[in-house]
Amino acid sequence: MSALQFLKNAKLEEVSVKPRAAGGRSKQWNPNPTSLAIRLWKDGSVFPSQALVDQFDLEYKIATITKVALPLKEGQTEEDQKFKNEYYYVSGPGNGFDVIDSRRWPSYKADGDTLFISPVQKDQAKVDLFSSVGYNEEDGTPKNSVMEQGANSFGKSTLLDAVKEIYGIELTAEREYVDLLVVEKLEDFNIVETFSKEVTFLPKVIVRGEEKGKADMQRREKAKIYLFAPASALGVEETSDEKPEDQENEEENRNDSIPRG
Amino acid sequence: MIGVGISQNVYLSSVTMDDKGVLDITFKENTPEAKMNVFEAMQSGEAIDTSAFEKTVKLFAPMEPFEKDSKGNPVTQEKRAGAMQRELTERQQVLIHLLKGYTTSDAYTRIGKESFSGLDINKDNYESEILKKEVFIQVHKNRCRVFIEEITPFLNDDTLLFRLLLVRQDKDKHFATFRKKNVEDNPFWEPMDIPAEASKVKFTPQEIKDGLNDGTPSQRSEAADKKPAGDKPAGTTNAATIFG
Repeated sequence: MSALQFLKNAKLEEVSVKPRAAGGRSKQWNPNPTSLAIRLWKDGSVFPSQALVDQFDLEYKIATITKVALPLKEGQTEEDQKFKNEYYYVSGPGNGFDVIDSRRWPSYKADGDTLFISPVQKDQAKVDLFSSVGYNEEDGTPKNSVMEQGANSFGKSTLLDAVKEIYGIELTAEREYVDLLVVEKLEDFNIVETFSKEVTFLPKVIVRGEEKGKADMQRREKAKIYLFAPASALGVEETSDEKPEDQENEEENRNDSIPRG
Repeated sequence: MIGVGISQNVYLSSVTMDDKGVLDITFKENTPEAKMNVFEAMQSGEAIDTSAFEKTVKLFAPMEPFEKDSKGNPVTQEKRAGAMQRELTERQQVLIHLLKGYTTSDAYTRIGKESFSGLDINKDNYESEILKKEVFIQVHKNRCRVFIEEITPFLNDDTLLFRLLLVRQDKDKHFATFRKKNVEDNPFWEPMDIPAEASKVKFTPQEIKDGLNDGTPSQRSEAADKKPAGDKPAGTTNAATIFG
């Protein structure tokens, strides 16, 4: 079966990015609000569209934070007491995304390779995108919206290379970003129905410790798998990159110091 | 050939339970030779033993915990109940671990939830009741029954292939069995979807140190093979019962 035969005929065209207007406009960090997409920037930072945030419940939620005392080790006194924060979310923690590279996924059989993406609750293990944010401890509010966070760890470690190798798109000073679309259906071909199963073992890469870089897997239940590809690979036009004037200076407001998503 | 060690491309072919609560779980290899019936194998011109491509692993009900310790002192009811719980939990973990390869939490959590079905047992009488043979056997059987119900739709599906690790039973008994401790951290069973380089199915240093990765028969077990199977649970799994 070649479920993704479209890739054989897909063209990888250079998509022109509109030049900056004279006078130095600041950047439009997020994709077109109505598209289901994530904008990957050349530094690896990722920004979702508003429609994607709404559809997949990606926003960080207000949490009730409880300080829990860690057990004292032998010889420690109360002065050595350490605490950890436990977070409780009234309506659940919301979702992040697993990103799946078909080259590392033995159960994927097709002539070409691609990326997939799958929503997963933020509090699960090994979530690749939009999983965590810093919190204001006094009122439990997140320090950043998922729309503005711009975490770049996963993009830098994994996504930039994958997009370059699979879709042939290298982000540079000339081409600073690419919008990766989250796609459920390609014409009559239903990607979610084809690739989603009751239990899925997703390929991961160990990101810390002695085994950093080694292959790993993560079990997920009822994972819905979507295609994750740039418009150019799908044969559709990229959306406009016009940026509203009132979003100027957003670049200065970015906060890359928040824990990665 | 499935045995002590790590086998690739294995699927579950049958699961049955007898009235003593002995669960027979049979695995098959997904190879052309393994799929031959006896008649085809005999005609193939090769010396193919079709039984070598399958393995039945038995999961026995626990035995009653000892009433006295190694020094002859009585063991308290609380400690005996704790020992029984550990025995039952080890078996439960094996069943859940196998099911996790196929189904979601709503299916495999039934194993725990239906443990006491049909039993008059509650938190107040638990310690005394769980030590009664008919009770702990029934708990094990309830769990095995749920396992059979949930696993049945997936039996004989040779598209659902797994990597299976079986350990030697102990130093004296070379027969292949499941690892029973810490199977979440040290899985004995994982889909072939997981590439070999990411596999977590491997022998632990302790198992290697104890020789549990070696299926070579010991002199004692070879001698035991020649005797008729006895009543001792562990001793009933021998070459004759596995290979017929």
